[in-house]
Amino acid sequence: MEELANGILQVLNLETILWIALGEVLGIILGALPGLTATMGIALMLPISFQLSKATGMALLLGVYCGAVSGASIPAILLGIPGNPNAIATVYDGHAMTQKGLAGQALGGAVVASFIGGIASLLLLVLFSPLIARFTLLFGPAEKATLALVGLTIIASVSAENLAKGVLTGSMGLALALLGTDPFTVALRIPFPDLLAKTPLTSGIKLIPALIGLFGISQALSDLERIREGYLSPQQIRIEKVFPPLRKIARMWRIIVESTGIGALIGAIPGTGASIAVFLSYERAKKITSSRRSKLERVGTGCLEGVMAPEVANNAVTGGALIPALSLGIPGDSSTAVLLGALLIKGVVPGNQLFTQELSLVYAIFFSLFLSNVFMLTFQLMGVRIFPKVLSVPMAMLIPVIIVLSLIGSYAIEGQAILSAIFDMGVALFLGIVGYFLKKGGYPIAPIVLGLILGGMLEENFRTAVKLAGGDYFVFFTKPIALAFIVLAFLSVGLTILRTGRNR
Amino acid sequence: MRRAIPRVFILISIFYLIFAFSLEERRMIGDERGWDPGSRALPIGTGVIMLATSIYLTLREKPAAESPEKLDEGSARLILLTIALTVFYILLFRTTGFILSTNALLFTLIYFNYRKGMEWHMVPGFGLGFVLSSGFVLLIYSLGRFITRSLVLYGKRSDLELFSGKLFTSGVTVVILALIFLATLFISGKITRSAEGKYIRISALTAPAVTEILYLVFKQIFLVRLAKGLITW
Repeated sequence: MEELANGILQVLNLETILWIALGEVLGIILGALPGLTATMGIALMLPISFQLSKATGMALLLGVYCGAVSGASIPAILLGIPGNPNAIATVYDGHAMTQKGLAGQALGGAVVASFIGGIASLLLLVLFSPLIARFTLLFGPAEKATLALVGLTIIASVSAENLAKGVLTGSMGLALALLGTDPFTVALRIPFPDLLAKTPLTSGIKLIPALIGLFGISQALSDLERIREGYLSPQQIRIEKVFPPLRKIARMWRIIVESTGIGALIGAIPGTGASIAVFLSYERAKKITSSRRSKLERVGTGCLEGVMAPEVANNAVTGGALIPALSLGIPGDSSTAVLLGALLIKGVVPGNQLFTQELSLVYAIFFSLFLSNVFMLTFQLMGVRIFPKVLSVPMAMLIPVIIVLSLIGSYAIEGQAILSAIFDMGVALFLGIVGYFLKKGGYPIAPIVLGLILGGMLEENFRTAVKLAGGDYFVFFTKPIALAFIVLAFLSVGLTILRTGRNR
Repeated sequence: MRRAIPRVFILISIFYLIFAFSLEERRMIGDERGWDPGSRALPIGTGVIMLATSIYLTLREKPAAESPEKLDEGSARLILLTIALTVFYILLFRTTGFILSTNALLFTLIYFNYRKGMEWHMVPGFGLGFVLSSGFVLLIYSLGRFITRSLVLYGKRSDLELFSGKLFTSGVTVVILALIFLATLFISGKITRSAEGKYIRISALTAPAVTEILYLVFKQIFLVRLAKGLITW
């Protein structure tokens, strides 16, 4: 009880509340701008969160996360262009409603749906993450090493159309994670050690510059390709009657419940992400509304039901994706990978240790997520006529600002040591360029981040497990949980190969 | 692009494997019997996986898989310019300092992005805007420093801690500079009416404003040691 009060108090202070509010507004703006993703927004805010306390920093990032996921519905509804992949399915009915003159109700419905999805998934997060975290008490080095392997294989297999590309970028992330110094012997592990021994590379590739480069700079470079198209400005659209009728929402209970379940479940499966959840929930809502007995409007005809289903699901992903991140240290999607990175940088180890030794921080995270959802509802409803104006911000101005913010953000992490800080800017730029070309070639970049995050965990536990087993490499097959993880890893890879083969 | 990437990865993997094999084999402390797989084990394993997948992808990608979307020349130039300028920015950051280099990078990128490309006839306008922008950033930076120092001094002299607090000084500085910025925006809007003038005006005002905001947030609030470079005050 004392931990709960402590956790709430860590959030219920003016400073943290203001940071959540700022994060929320920034998130909505970033989410609303087509091409700028939630992951990018969180990555850009990482350096600022690094300067704040653990709870306040996480609260800021969660604010950005919630805001960006829900803000993506604005261009989807008004322009028919999703702000980011979270709102792909909102386009169909949302934009059709705008064309019918019901833009206000579509925007309002999306916000209410986002709130419902966010709060419902938060409840699931509160309920399940401590249980799963308790399960990790049974984990020794062998189990942890195979868990890292599961994380790597699952994200590699589902984040790309092509398994091999996911494996390649995932192993690239691992290779980067292994640079620097051997964790056990402190021996240098860098190329050209005679030349580079006195450079900041000896400390390895830091996570924040890598994340900023991969998600911030690479995205900005990709957006530069679209700069000649000019900027998107919604035509004069009248926005009236924002709040959807409560009776209508109540009638949609089945769609809401199922979409929440789909969103939270898909979110909790590492590597899946909101884009899958929104399509599944949209299709499910289509089935529900097309039954003869249904009194609801048919999804696909430009109705509120078709907006609510994907919007409930994409915000339900937020809580769902945090379940494996907080309890196992395996992120549910690329956004939670960055959130996880923020925790790791602050020295917080996810899993049972987090839920026993830093329980107040866990409560602070839960409460921040709750407040973020409340702020999202309030700001989006209040600013329903203001936020669409964000679409008029020219990309010509925005992209340079994002690039400079990414560089200075990377610099700020080692803000007192100028040389290291400049090196970090170089890392961010280098990985930004690499990420840009990889994306152009159809390679997923999320596995690189997973490799970077899980690389250390994999190596430390792999070596410890083998050493404790007296040099026996079969130790991973003799422990039931480790064996189950290996089977899961093989299954995820095998199923992907089968699925790809069938699609061909 | 699709065919080039796995080929580049083959080279990277070979280099990485050579690097991994050349690492000194060390085992963890207390491992007299040699049970620890050693510091080279995972790098070698990773290198092998990288090499195998990149060879597989090279063999699998067909010429037809080449992306049909060709980048237009203007966009390609803008991307190259952005990358080149950012590299220079990082290299010159320490010598030139945060204020001047950040403003220069921002101005150049915003200006050419607005112009949607780079042509020789844009050089005079760019030059004029660059000088104006650099002058404006120096003005608002110096003014900001003056306001902050005055407030801190006043706070110390009159024992009012509030005045020397970083949030208060940054807040007051932002408000005063925002008023100056708005006034400049209004006045320059009256003077410049041509399209070229508009591009110069927007770029030359936005770059200093963003630079100063970043300075206030990272230097004054979060106390990050931003390189001073040429500006000594």
